[in-house]
Amino acid sequence: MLHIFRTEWLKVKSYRTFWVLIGLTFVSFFGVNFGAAEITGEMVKQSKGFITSVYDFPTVWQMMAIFGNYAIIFPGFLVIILVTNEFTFKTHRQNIIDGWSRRDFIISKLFWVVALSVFSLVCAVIFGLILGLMYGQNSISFEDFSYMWYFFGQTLLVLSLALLLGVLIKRAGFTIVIFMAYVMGGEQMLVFLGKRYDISLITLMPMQATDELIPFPTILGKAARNVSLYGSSVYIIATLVFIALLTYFTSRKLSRADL
Amino acid sequence: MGTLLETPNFYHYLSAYENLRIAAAIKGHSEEDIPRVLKIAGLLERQHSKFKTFSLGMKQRLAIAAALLGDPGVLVLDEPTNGLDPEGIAEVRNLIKSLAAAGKTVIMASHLLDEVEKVCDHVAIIMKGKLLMSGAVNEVISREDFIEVGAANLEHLQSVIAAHPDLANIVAGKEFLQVSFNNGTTAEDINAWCFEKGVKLNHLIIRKKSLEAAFFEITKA
Repeated sequence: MLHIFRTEWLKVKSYRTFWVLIGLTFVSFFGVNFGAAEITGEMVKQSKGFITSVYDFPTVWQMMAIFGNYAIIFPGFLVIILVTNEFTFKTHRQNIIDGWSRRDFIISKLFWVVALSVFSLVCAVIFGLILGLMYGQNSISFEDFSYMWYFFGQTLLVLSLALLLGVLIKRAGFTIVIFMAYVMGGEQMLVFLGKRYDISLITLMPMQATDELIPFPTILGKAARNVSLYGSSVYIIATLVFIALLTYFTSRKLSRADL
Repeated sequence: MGTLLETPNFYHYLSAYENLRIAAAIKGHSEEDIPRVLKIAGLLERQHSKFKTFSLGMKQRLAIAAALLGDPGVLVLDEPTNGLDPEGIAEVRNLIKSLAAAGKTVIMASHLLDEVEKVCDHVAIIMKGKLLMSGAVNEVISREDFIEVGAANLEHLQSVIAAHPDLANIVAGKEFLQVSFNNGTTAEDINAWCFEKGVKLNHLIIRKKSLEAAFFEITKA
């Protein structure tokens, strides 16, 4: 399997778009959270001790998970571009003609979902530590680090969705538009409507299930979000089921499609 | 065995060398083989140029270079000149000939009969999965000569030639007659025959039957 990962690395190591999107991911993790830390820091100052910084340990992990959600759009674009490139250049056929099995090709694409999710997690942890030290008063703590694992699950889900859309649509531009429309608002509209008509199952939609696992910290959250309708375990299971389903449909499509 | 199926498929944003590194990695061959195949394909000087900057002929030569990784004894090329401009066709043709001269067995599938005749030693014609004919190219796609003749009075010329004892076939055109003969009758013999009968030819050309015509004869037989 290592030779598959090495081959994927050969495909991207000189690819400018890859490095630009990796850079944007890195910068946006810091930028979004730095902006949020500045704003909440100002609120903390004005409250004169009534509220404490949310970018302090351990709530910093929760904040990194919440705002990291915006940064993972770039790894999503990257997954879409890497898979649709194969269809555009017909290299998916060439890889198989040269000796890969369809299974090898599927693994090579799932590799990016996992690798970019790990990269996003590492970015979130690094900047969590930096911002926690910059804006907090407590010493480093990994209490509530579970939010980072929820964030990892959310990233896996979003990137799995990006991969499936890329495999189904095959065109980078159109896939990115559909992906953004769904992730940035499409599902939220459905959830909004569902909640309005008391359809509790609507909170089990893919993006919403992971959002429910990562609420805003209490001092900000009560005003911003309803209390979750189900327990965390239900949302964790829903997230895992969606990841499994998205991976299954991607594998099924790639293993059966005419090359 | 190395294969080239249809069009060359490479990553446009990578160089020739980087694309071959990927092909070598998938095939499980050493990267040390890459300079050798690039040299054979005549792309050593352009190895660091991006694939998207290559001409059609260069792209196809890179695909053949990829097929040569691991130094296979047999190469299977499917329509290697398909979609190429005349320059690209000549480039690929010369490369295939040089590979054959170097001792490689090249099996080429093509619908371009002219290319088959120029490149191949042996040919097999397959129709609907059945082998119709195989053997040396000159034997399988044998093409009889015919002679095109013209004179001021075409009707009179036709009657003179029709009287020739070795005449095999005569087809009257608007300006010329297409005639073929048995028993090794040459153009010189025809010219002499017509002159003896008082007809001066103003047009005498030896032509070959088109490859397509020869192919149709084989496939319709």
